[in-house]
Amino acid sequence: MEKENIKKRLEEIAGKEWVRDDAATLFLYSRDMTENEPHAPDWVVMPEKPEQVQAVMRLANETLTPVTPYVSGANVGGLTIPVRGGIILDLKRMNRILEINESDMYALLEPGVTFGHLRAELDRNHPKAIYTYPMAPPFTSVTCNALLDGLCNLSHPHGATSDWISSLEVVLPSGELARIGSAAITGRWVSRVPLPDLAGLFIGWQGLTGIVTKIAVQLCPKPAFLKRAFILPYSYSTAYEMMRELSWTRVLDDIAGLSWVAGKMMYGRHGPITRDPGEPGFILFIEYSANTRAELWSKTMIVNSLLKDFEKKGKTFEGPLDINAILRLFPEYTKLANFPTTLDFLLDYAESGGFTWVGSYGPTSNWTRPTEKGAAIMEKYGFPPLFNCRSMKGGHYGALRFLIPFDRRDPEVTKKLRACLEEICDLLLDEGFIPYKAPNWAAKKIISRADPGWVNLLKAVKKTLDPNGILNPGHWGF
Amino acid sequence: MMEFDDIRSWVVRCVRCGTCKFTNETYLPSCPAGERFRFEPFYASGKNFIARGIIEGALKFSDPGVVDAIYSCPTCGNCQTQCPLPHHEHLVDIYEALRARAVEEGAGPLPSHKPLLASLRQYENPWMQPRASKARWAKELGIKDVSREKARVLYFVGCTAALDPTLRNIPTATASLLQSAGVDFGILGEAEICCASTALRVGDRILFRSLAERNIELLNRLKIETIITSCAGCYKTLKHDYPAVGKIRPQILHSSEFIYRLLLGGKLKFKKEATRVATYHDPCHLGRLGGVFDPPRRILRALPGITFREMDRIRENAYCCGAGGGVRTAFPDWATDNVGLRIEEAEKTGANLLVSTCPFCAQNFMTGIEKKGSSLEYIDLVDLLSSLLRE
Repeated sequence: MEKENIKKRLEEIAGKEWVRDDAATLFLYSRDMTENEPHAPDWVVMPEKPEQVQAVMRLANETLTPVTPYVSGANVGGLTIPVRGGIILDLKRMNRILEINESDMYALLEPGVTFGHLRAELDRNHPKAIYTYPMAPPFTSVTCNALLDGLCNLSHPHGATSDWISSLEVVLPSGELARIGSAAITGRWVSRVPLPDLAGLFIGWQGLTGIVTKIAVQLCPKPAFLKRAFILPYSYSTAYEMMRELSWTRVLDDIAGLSWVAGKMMYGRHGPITRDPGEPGFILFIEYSANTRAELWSKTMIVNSLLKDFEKKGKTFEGPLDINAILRLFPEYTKLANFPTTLDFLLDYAESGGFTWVGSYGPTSNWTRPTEKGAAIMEKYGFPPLFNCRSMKGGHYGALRFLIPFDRRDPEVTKKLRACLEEICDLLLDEGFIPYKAPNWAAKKIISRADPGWVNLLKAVKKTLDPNGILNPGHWGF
Repeated sequence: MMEFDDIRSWVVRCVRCGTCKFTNETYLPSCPAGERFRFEPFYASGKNFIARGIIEGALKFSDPGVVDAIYSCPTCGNCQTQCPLPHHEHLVDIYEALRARAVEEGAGPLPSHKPLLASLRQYENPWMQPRASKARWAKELGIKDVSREKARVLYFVGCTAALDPTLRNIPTATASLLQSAGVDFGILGEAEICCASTALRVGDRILFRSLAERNIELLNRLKIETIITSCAGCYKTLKHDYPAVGKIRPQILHSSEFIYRLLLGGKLKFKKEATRVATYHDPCHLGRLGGVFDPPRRILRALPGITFREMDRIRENAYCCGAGGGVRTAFPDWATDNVGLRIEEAEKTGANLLVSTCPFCAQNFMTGIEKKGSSLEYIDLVDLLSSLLRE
């Protein structure tokens, strides 16, 4: 079908004002904040209802037009760059909070709902409930974050945000609508069990298998008491040992760490950043909550006792430093202590709008070595060793992310950056960590090392769900 | 006011994190253009990237969608409040520099802006009315003409308040207040030249400079001590944009600032009270971009009988009515729809009186209230205050 005819059909589906193919629009949707190569779509379509998403998918199948789902484009992996052109399906208008169920503790959302909006709704109208928030700007999609296995401030007890999904509504590449989880059987959006977990057909797939049009995520009761503290270990190995042992106490809601570089960036340091002699190497952030003061006191005793043991073992660290007290002295630390956060101090380090990472999940038993090696790789390429980590699901696995703000204007920097990212990615895979939100180049590396059976199954699932390969082609090696 | 070459180092700072799109404290929409069009080019981050595309040669002004995106913005500066990165304070400068370059290259302004500019050239006001009309509202009010008589204060009326018959109560109420307080003031009448805010906002910097230079020369020649304006646009232009062209010697105050001083000095005596619930809309060029938030609020709180309630988005976070930056001229339907959102926010407070301090906002609010059939009454602050000074 001619491009003009496709445009006309898209306009019939979504309405004329919600389809654009002008140069300015295509330019904006062709790139993101990362080093990934830009590629323009042919059209950007902004549906308002699942029916319109279905119609777009049917048209895409009929015309073999690629479709890339999009909400805010802030995935830091080039995942919404339409590498084969076609349609960008911008889901911003599908931004309704459909239900907050305080009784069954879930929120039913459309994909355009952001963490900021969910938080605002809960804070204003449902103050007894909370959701989990990322260390990311507030206007990123709750749905996308969950489908991409994001990590958040309650990942320690509950796991990646994909673990918070209780039900889904998905438009399949064919245009059919399917519900996943309890919503499919009872119409209640409470759980994915006890059913074949079809959510796995859409989680971690980077939009290759379906467009989620509704998501139910679990909520948690807001604790009556909350305590947050910073601990500053001097060495990476002490930091990780501390994270693991604190995780195993089962008292924490969150334990995460940032390398010493972040502290300096927060105070506006740009250019070469060096670690001063005698400076702690890590900023550990811990958070725990309680229903009563007595429970909070007990948890504090458990944390303090464990830290005492570390002292006795000769491990060096500062703290725990009560965050509320620190915030009174240094309000800048709010950016590390409250979620979601603007992260401006990280995003502007290179003063030129570039930001990328290799993020990964892996065994906490092997946190230290890839951290030390990854930091060395970053320094070898001239980037400050900025990384963060988080203990996930009670310490059963951990996140490790190397973050690079970079100068987008300089092609030499981009070249160097790509080499650095590839080297870190190889290192992580060698050390048992798997990149998440993997950009195309990283996905290829993952697939090249994967068990052939897994790769074949992956391909078979994709082929079954999307026989024409129209959804987000070019990603995950497809 | 920033030149196009000067925006280069700032536009590159944007990572498109999206924080500009909503208010940080309340997570409500911040950007009228984004709220209307939703596509990425219409948000602050989109315009930054368009600027970057033009600078790097990936986009041209003649490319479809570029001029539309650049001009679909009321230059309200709410994005400046929300953006956490260092370029945030230059975002409106960036948009205006982009528009100026578009005009230089013949791609701007939009066709609907051209009659305004032609009117500015011919009549020195954007409303296509002869200069003599500017003094009409003041006939028989016994106000000094400062081009002929000395006065300590110049009331710079502004084109919209002087020429829109539906807004005549703004200058008359202002003059009445000043007279009640015994202020030695005058006006320029038909000699008043437009501040040229319109020309600056839509990118005609040659016209802006020529009018600004004439105004600066005139205002400095008058030997006055203080200039007060009714219009948020005039205020911002004279006070914050003119310094890039030349220095104005007299101090510049918005009428709300000046009148607040009169109130503090006991120069105004209330003679009755109004049993009304009022809310206040911060005009973008007075509040966020002009730094004047408190005097109007303090006046409102001082008015006898008035119960003052705030909207959700106020002060730096105030949601723009959608009239400025050439939007009401080029996109009247959008401007009216957008002010409807602000009217709903005002209604939510339970107020029956919507108060503001800008004739341009006034036009938009009055149109919006009529279209929505809202029971809110719009009134300018000076009009409300003046009504309470009369028996």
